[in-house]
Amino acid sequence: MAHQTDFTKKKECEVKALPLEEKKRMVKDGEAHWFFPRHVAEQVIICGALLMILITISTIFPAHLGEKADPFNTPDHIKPEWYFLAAYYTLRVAEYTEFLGAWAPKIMGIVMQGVAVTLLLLVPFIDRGGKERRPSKRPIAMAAGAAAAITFIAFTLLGHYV
Amino acid sequence: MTTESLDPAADSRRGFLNAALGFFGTIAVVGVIYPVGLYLWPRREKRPEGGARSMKIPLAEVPIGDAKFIRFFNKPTVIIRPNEQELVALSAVCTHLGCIVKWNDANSELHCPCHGGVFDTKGAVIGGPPPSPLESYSTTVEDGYIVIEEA
Amino acid sequence: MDMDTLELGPFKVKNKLVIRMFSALDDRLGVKEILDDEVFEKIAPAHLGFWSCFGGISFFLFICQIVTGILLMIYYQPTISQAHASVGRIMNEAPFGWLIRGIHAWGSNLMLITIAVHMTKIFVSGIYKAPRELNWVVGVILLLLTLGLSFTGYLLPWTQLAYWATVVGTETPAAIPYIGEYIRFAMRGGDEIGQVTLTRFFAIHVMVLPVITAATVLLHLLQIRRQGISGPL
Repeated sequence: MAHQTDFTKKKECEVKALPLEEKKRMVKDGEAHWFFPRHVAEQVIICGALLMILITISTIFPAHLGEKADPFNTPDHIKPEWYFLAAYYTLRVAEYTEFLGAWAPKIMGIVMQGVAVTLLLLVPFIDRGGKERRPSKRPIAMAAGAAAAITFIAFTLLGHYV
Repeated sequence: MTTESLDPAADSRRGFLNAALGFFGTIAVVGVIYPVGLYLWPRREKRPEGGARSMKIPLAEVPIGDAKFIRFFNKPTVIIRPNEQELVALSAVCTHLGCIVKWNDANSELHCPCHGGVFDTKGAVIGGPPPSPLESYSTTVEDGYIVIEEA
Repeated sequence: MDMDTLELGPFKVKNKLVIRMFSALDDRLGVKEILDDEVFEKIAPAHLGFWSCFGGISFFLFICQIVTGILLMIYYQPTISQAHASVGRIMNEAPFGWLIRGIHAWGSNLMLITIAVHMTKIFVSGIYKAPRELNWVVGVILLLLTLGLSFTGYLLPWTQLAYWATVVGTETPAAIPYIGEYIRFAMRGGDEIGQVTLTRFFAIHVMVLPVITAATVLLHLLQIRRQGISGPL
């Protein structure tokens, strides 16, 4: 392994330009797999399995079609789809900002959602802590990520049950 | 082939061409965005001419102490008679996020099913997140009919 | 390419006609070089495990959504009087319509889960760090596009829950000072949710967002190609 090619630091075009002998050596030394047939086969198996899972779920739990929309009657207990429950719950959390003024609850709800999305977009620019990638060496980033994930899950559950 | 600093004529020609390019480029961009933008922007429904519209409902359809939901020119509306004298017509659209309120018989209140807003029989907010009272319409009683008029 | 045997990776072709057709194509487009570079002499890193699959899985689900979406569009009618009934016909009358709608509906949910897993993996392994910051941003934009697709697609069957979820969903941005009312007006295509809203959501769901998403996916993949796969931890 003394003259190991640092495969992972190369751009794809550089890897492509490696001599065939070097590629063969890397496959032999277990640094890489052939794209064909091994990698392609893996992809096909994964995609096939996923399709089977989808078909199975769709058969066991068929999608149902609710009542037709009636603009003059709001049904009880309307809830958004699960992936919007957290956003929906922030609207409720925003009601506690009433002490700021009557305007606050409606605006703070959307402000919180906007801030959350902006923070998510800017993750690489907020966490500029060097090149260290191992989770154990990035306690602050891991803690912040866990806090965000827990908040999202908690809001989703609260949005569902409250 | 250009020698910018040595040939003032070429410089000014270049400046002129750049300005012209910028000018026509801007016109082209605006010329696409403006009509497409206007095309996409939704139209407001025109209100029919002839002033405020009104609608008649038989008085007997709304018992005292009860509420009736109607479609007032396609707008969800509730007529309430809290007691013998009073008669109120309110928009049934919650001012919070636009759900249709429901009549709560036990407390004589309007409850929003979405986020728990509560309104009294005059449309004022008495609980929950709604920021403003329900829109109200003027009502009069003529020969056993309630006449509701647009604001 | 005058030869008796055409060698393509592990395949050895001896058929004269196939060889002649292939060499004609190769003379004009350099097909052999592309096949060797992109398929037969291409190597993939060995360190990629189960958790590295989820980006690709999300991509596969996106393709499934496009295929089932096109199939659904054949029978769907985007009018407020017919939308609900036409979805009913897809499910009850069209052969396997229930399955196609099922895959489309479950696929959208599954896709959001696989994207979440993919993002978690990228976050935990610190792959978003230099030089891949921009690809994280593009990825988050893809998440938002997927949510937009879910939001617009949810209204199309014109059911009670979908209608009122959309009422609340489009009312929310109206709280933004100054421009909120205009955002709501633009989202609904008017003051209320009606035929105009449905038509617009339909156009956005089947054309606008899929095209933008496909282009963004391409950008996402091109960045990976340019920067290479990140190394093991």
